[in-house]
Amino acid sequence: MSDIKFGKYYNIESAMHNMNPLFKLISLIIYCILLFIIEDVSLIIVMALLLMILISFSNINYIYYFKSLKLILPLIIFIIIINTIFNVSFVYTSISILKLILLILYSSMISFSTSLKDINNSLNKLLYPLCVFGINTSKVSFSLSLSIRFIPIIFEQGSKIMKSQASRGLDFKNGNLVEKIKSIKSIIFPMFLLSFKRSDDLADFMEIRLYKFEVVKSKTKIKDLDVLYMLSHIMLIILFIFKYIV
Amino acid sequence: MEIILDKIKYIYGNKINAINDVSLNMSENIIYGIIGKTGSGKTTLVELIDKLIVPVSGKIVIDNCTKNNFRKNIGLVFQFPEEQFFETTVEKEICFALNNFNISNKNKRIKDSLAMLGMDESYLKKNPFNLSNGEKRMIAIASILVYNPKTIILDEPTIGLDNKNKRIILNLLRRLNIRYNKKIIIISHDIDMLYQLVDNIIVMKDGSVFIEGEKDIVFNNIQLLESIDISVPNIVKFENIVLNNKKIKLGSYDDVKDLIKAVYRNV
Repeated sequence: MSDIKFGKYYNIESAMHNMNPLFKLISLIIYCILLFIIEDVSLIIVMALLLMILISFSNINYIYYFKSLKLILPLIIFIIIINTIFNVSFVYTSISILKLILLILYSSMISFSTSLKDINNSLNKLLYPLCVFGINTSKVSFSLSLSIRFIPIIFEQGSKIMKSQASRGLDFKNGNLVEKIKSIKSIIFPMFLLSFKRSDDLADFMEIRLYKFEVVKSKTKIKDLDVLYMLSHIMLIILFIFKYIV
Repeated sequence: MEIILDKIKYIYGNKINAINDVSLNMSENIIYGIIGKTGSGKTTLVELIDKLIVPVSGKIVIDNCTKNNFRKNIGLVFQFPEEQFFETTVEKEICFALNNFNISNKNKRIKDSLAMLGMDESYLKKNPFNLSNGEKRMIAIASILVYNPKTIILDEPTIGLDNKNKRIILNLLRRLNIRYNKKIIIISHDIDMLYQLVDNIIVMKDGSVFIEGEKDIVFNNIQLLESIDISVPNIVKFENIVLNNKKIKLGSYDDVKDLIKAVYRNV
């Protein structure tokens, strides 16, 4: 469980780490939308290739990316079972799974290479237009970025609790379905309690340190690599338009 | 109960050597202390002994234990064990392990485990989440003692506790070892506390055993231990000053106070 890397940030030097965080978020949105609407295999392969190139710029071992896929392994198995039951074609099932994998890998790349502060500020800028409707975008962006960062912590905690209960004789592998469901209670309950405790502690720390929900105006220079990065995603949109509209 | 580790190796992720070629023989029913800096592999080592993680290479032999009953014979108390609570009463919480191991005579065992810690039966119907931190820790230890394991491993059992609760735990561990002949393995950063309690010391460094043996022999290597940022107990430091300082003449003082004054003047 602690092997799940999704949501972690690796504080190292790389081209991907130095990219403009706002551009990273916009690109993530573009990539996700295109993944959902594109059905063409060749275009999906192009998107996968682009992602592989971007991942190589992040200086993070590929193994960490594949470990973040553990999170969706049950979902992949579920998709395979359902598609087999309803006799869905093999190609369609494969495309659906590939899309899901690309989605997780891209999100992992962004979370691995973007600090909590940068995610928060960029989300804040992205959501800023919603201020017109009276929404406190600072609070929304902070909650969103925190929940991403909490994912690995919760899983790490879950792993510790599993070990702790296993040492008291809880057997996760053997036993019937009812027993297995019952055993989940002994893991989920402490996990929730710890999450609440952590969020309470965090709220206290923020209050002590006089945290204010406001937009930090940082002037980040747009570099050539940022432009190239954005252009690669615009190219994807152009390819999509040529394939489906023109 | 013999615990023998033979050239154990464990790797976290794909790079970090958490445990590197560790060989240990913990055959005697004495109290072992494991010390080392944070990240030196202490917790990983005890998780390997309890088979919660599997070594990459090497062999762990636990005497008189089959594949199914080894966990019943080893009680592992994790750091902050109170975080594992999920039941609504202390009684149910302590009973958790008994249900998992299918052990009968539950009521007597629960009451006995509480009595060992000096706690009365009024705790049984209380909600574990409403107890103080010290009481929670005691209940967590009781939930291990209840199934009567032959070896008890404790990871930082006194962390965050007040002196009274620390004393209770130390006395309990001593009693478990002497009266009930249990093997105790204790991980701690509290060197002075360990010196009072343990018989043997294992010093870990970067996933390997740096030095191990009887506590007096290990802690006499003051310079060697300080070279890896591990301090020795204050009593050993004092003894070292008294014995090595030529200006302090043992036997020429009538009172301990005079000896302490002489040490103070000459240091």
